Amino acid sequence: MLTSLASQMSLLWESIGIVSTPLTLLVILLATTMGIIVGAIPGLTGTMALALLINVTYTMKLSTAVAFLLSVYVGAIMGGCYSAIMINIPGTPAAAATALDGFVLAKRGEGGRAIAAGIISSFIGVTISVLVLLFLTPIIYSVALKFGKWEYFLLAVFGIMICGSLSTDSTPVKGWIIGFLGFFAAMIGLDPIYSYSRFTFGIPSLMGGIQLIPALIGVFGISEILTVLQESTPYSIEKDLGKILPTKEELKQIFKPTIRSAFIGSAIGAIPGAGEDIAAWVSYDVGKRRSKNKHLFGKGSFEGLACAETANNACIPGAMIPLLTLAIPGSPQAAMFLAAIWLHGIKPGPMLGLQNPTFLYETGITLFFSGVCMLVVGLLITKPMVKVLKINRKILMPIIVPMTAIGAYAGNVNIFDIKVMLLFGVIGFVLRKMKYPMAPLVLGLILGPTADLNFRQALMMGQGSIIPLLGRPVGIILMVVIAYILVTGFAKSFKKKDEAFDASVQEE
Amino acid sequence: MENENDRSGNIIMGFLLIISGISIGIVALGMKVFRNFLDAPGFFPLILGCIFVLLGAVLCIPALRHSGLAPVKSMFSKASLLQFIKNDKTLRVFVLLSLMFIYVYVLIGKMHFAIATCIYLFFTMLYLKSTKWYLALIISIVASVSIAVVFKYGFRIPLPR
Repeated sequence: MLTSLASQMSLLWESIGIVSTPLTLLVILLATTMGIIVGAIPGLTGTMALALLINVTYTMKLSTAVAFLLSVYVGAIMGGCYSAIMINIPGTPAAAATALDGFVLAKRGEGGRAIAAGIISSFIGVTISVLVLLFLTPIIYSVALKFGKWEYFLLAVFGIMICGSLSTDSTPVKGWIIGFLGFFAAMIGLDPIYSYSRFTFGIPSLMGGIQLIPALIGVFGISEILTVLQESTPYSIEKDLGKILPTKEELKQIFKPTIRSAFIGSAIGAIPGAGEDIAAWVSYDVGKRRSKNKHLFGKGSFEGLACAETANNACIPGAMIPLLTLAIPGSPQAAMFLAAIWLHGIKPGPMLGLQNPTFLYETGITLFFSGVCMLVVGLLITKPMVKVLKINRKILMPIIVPMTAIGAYAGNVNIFDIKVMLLFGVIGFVLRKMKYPMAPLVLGLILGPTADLNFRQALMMGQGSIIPLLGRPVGIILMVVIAYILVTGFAKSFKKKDEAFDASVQEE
Repeated sequence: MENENDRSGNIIMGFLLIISGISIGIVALGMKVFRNFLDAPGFFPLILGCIFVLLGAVLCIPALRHSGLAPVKSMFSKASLLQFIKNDKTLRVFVLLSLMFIYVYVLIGKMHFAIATCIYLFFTMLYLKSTKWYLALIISIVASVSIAVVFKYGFRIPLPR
């Protein structure tokens, strides 16, 4: 135990050395600032920014690429609070809960203090969650090493089921449909066992399968651009920020909810595909229930704002836990990060702890450093950010389109990928209009090959029998959990429909 | 709460899923079996096809039970279709998508990336009335050249040709 702790400490120390080079620190500073600005502009989400920037990291060293992407991620999630507070439009979906109290505070002339409270909460959220990441991941590594084919297959299905259930306000069935569509899209191309061409319909460019990055850019970039330009309504900005730093009383008020929300955010981040927006809403809800001043929630409560902002940022290190241990991203942004480190030859999973022992610690330290940059830069640029919010989106959004084209093209240097990106953009736009969540699609694309390969290999090894699965405790637990999600999900779907039916009968 | 649009959407999506599921199943069954069917390339897609049929049924049967095909019929009625076509948002999305398709399928690959981008940006901004036409032209030129230079020389990323 002591030896293990000592070796972890030495890895941590080594990683601090790797991350603390002047170049990496500069990259963290610049990328966090870029992330804050991107996150603050309504319509430019963190997911879109990461999707576009993956290819920029091609030519970077691994540690620089990791620092760049994680810092943009941290900055973008926090940046969403500026527009949520000042114009009541969340810059990223993760800041939707922040707007509830933040905008009321801004209207009262306390926007500056609200933003500062949000930034401080975000920093505490990231810091606590990094500790959870560093403590929990080695434990999960040791458990995951015992996983076999069945466990990996069931884990992939579990990922789709839980992500489908959590990522939609509507019926979980919609989330599952999208997740399995992602599975199907992943089947296109050569089969991983016999290299047999599946669903390519004689198109040679499809032999390599649907590339992940063009699909991600389409779903999160193009569909977002279309959504923003379709509406394109002007918004008004509360110009009076008031004082920037919160009072001692306000800091005392947010202390407890911040600590609690950090753990909530971290735990939700670790659930495949759940994401920052869900973390913020759950934490806000828990905060409201536990607060002595629950009547103030939604009417300009610093506590409420802190709950949402802490959780959405705490979700980031949390999302790294399943990503690094099981190669299952905890959020769509984490999926982008996964795609990026794949490009650099890093294969996350239980073997990562053995093959690249410092990677976990580099990730944790990078997240912490970008949290520090977020705190300092965020507070310093609060006033100039009001001007950034005035950017004309009708000029900005079209300029992003060529960048999406470059992003999709650069991976394979193939124009076909740009076409795939545009098609996925259209599909994503239509599905979003029909209230289908997009996170399960990404997870399906990532986990599809794992599910296919492990399921068929497990069946081959068991000579067509699923009886070997019954001797595997983790497999049985996963099966029970999947069955539970399935039953409750169907029950929820039918209950919703029955309620709708009763309501319409009553209306008649 | 579900409204008429959601219900018709569920019915259409449900039918599409059932048809897709059956088609995927048929294609999967036609795939070559190497050793035995359990490790055949078509086995997992066949299961996915069955899942699509099941989920499609779960999606559309309750909606059909609730109000039959009426919401779909009303969605595809002449009046609704005319209203949909004349809607400002529909028109905007249609034009923006057309410009994107022209950019991706016609312009990129046929000319230098910066020129293709400049043409796309200028016409898109002109349509969106983002700013005055000469400013749109200047922004398009500056943006397309900047993007090309920054990505090609700054990030050393190949540009589509």
